[in-house]
Amino acid sequence: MVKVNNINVFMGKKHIIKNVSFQVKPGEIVGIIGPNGAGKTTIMKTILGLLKFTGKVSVADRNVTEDNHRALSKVGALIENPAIYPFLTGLQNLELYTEDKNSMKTVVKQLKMQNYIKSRAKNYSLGMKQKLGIAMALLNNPNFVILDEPMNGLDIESTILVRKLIKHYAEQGTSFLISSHILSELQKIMTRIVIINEGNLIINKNIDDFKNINHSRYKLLTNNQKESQKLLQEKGMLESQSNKYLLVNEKNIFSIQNLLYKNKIQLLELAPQQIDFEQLVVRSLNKKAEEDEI
Amino acid sequence: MKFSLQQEFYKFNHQKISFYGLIILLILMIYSAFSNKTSTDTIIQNFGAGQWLTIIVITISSTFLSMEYTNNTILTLFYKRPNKFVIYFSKLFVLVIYSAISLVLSVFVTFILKELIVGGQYHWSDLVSALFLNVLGTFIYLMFIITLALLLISVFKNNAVVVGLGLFNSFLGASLSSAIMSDFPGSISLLKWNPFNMIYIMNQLSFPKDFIKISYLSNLQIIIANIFYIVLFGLLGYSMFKKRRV
Amino acid sequence: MSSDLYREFFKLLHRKVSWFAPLLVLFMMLAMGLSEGKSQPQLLIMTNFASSQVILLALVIVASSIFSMEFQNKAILNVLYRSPNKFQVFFSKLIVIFIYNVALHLITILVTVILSLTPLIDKVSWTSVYQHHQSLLLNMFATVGIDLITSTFIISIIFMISCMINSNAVVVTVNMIIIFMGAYVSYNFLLQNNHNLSGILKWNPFNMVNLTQQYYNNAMASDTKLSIEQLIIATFLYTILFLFAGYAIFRKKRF
Ligand SMILES: Nc1ncnc2c1ncn2[C@@H]1O[C@H](COP(=O)(O)OP(=O)(O)OP(=O)(O)O)[C@@H](O)[C@H]1O
Ligand SMILES: [Mg+2]
Repeated sequence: MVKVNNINVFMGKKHIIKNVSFQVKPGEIVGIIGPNGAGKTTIMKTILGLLKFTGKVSVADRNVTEDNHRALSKVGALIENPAIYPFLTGLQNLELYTEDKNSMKTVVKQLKMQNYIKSRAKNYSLGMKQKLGIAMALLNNPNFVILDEPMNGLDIESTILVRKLIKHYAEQGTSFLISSHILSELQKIMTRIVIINEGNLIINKNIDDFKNINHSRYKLLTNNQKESQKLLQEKGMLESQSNKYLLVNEKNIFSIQNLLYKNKIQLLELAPQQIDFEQLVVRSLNKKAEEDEI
Repeated sequence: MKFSLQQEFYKFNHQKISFYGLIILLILMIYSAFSNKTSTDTIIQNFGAGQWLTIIVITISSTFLSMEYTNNTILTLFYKRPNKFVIYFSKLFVLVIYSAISLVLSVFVTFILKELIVGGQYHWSDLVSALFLNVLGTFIYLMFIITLALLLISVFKNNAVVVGLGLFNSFLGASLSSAIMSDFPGSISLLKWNPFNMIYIMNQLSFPKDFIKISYLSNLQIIIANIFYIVLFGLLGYSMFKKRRV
Repeated sequence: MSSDLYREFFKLLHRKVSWFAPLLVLFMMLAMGLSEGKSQPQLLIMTNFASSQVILLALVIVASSIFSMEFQNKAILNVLYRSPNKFQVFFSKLIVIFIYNVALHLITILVTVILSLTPLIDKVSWTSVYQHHQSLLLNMFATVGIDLITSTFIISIIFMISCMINSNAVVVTVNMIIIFMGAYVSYNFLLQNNHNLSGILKWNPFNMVNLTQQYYNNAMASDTKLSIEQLIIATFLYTILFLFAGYAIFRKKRF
């Protein structure tokens, strides 16, 4: 659906995006994560043909350049703050970009905005504006939708609503590129993760593969930790320790069980190590920083 | 109050527009000096500084208040400051000080330009008192402009409209006023108090003979009328500002 | 293109200032009628109650925010990616303001006709010959036509400057200075260099602000040192130049 091929973006002399490539397949929900100032918004703007860049961006096999946006006819976007004209009503803001009125009504209904959609946008609350911004991005049944911090200012109910809506659209084949600092939220919907730091792409993985970095470690508890530790160390199967647990690699768990059984040690607990998603991301970012130092 | 003032000065000094205002004033004065033949009149008129300053001050005043709304920083002001009166008058005060400083600077530039262009041809002793009166008149009129700009921003909430109307007043107000007065000679005693007529204070104090005929107001009258409008605009502007929803 | 145009119209018509500006024009026309109605009724009709300058004021107020408003609230991002290219965005804004300008002129014609029926100004015959050996009616239409050229020239300056400077107050100020002082500045250039350089300096862009005025007041020719035909051609060329410059700046701009 969307192919980003080796793009570089400069602002003045500053090199902001460095050789970034990734793809978004139909129906995929790509989460883009990175610290403040990493370049997430810049990548999104580049895909929308709003910046000068080198490299190649294509949407549905048609190229996007700064001067040609024809490939974007089936693309919707919400970049940073929703771009809303305060002197128009919510509905008029939508009307401005709608191609068919029915789809507009559908979107309004889907986001449950019927109550206030006919009043002027300047009187909207933060969350109302945000929803209107999302509605504008979802207009005209897009093939690809870019959402920059979509959950900004939304209440719990709306957050759930928007999450469901994104999944619903994705099931119909719409692809998403979503940035968010609320990882728990992103984690619930994304099917692929892209991590950006200082303009470099450092991770681009299917979400299951990414989580498997995590699952590849198991924590082990036995009735004789000392003896187990010695045994494992001898076989070179001990990765590290955390608190009372021994940490081992997933691929060894069967041989470890056999080993313990042979040595008459009782297994009390053997389970995947739970690291939360946040730590995982932080670790990925740090790992990159360490590599840079070496 | 003191703290408010400090903050307003800090913001003002960091806005590029206030600095550009002075640079432009300088350029325009030099332009006036070299595009017209220098006479005692042009020196007394500060090489057009008054006329240019009205333009600059309108733009800066209107921007100085409206930027708080466009950046939504007005909210911070409202909850950090004791009351709205302090906010409004700190802004007003900063703008008045800016006008005063610009005027002092323009006088300084006038001294230099005069020496450069005509040397010792005219004696300062003949010029200084008239120059001083011109600066005073301009200062009073700049306060008129500042209170007007803040009032208009509170009414229209649109920078373009305010600057457009303010400049329209500067460029055409005087001739409009004169045209209307000359067409209704019977009502001059009333019409001479119209706000467009106030602009004449800039030159009237130093050239009373010529300008009393145009403004139909005596020096004292035009000063009092200006002060009246300044107070009126200030209070009206403040009450609109207070009412405005943020 | 058509959807870009539609959007620009939609936005223009929903902004309060687009409706406020014609009121300003109306008000000034009335004031002019009050002050000159008895002394120069024919000139008033020919110039649509001297509406040229106040139309420019209205254009400055309305057109200066057509860019800066969207730069400020970032709506320009949406406008740009939804449009095939930057040229269409620029061009549709231009067309919309141009049509707005034409509409303002049509309004002044209408108001002139209505006011001429009231006792505000003395009765004059529309068919009697007035200036340029033509009837007053033709004079009026020709002045409107000429003024459309002048005001389009000003629009090109507004567009160029609003793409250069983000602050809409500064855009308004610069344009107001050009409109109201341009003639004076240009005259100064010419006066000083009466002998040697005036052959070149008379082509300075500030001189073009005088176009409409020169058409109804031939005496201006001695100030501008250009014939009406020369003024028209130069104004036209400057308009194209400024529009190109404005578009080039808009293209380069980052949002
Ligand atoms: N107009 C600009 N001129 C110069 N530098 C810019 C400009 N816009 C952004 N940058 C720089 O580009 C870098 C990336 O900015 P970007 O907005 O893409 O970050 P981000 O990942 O979206 O951050 P956040 O999480 O805070 O939204 C930053 O270092 C920023 O300073
Ligand atoms: Mg961002």
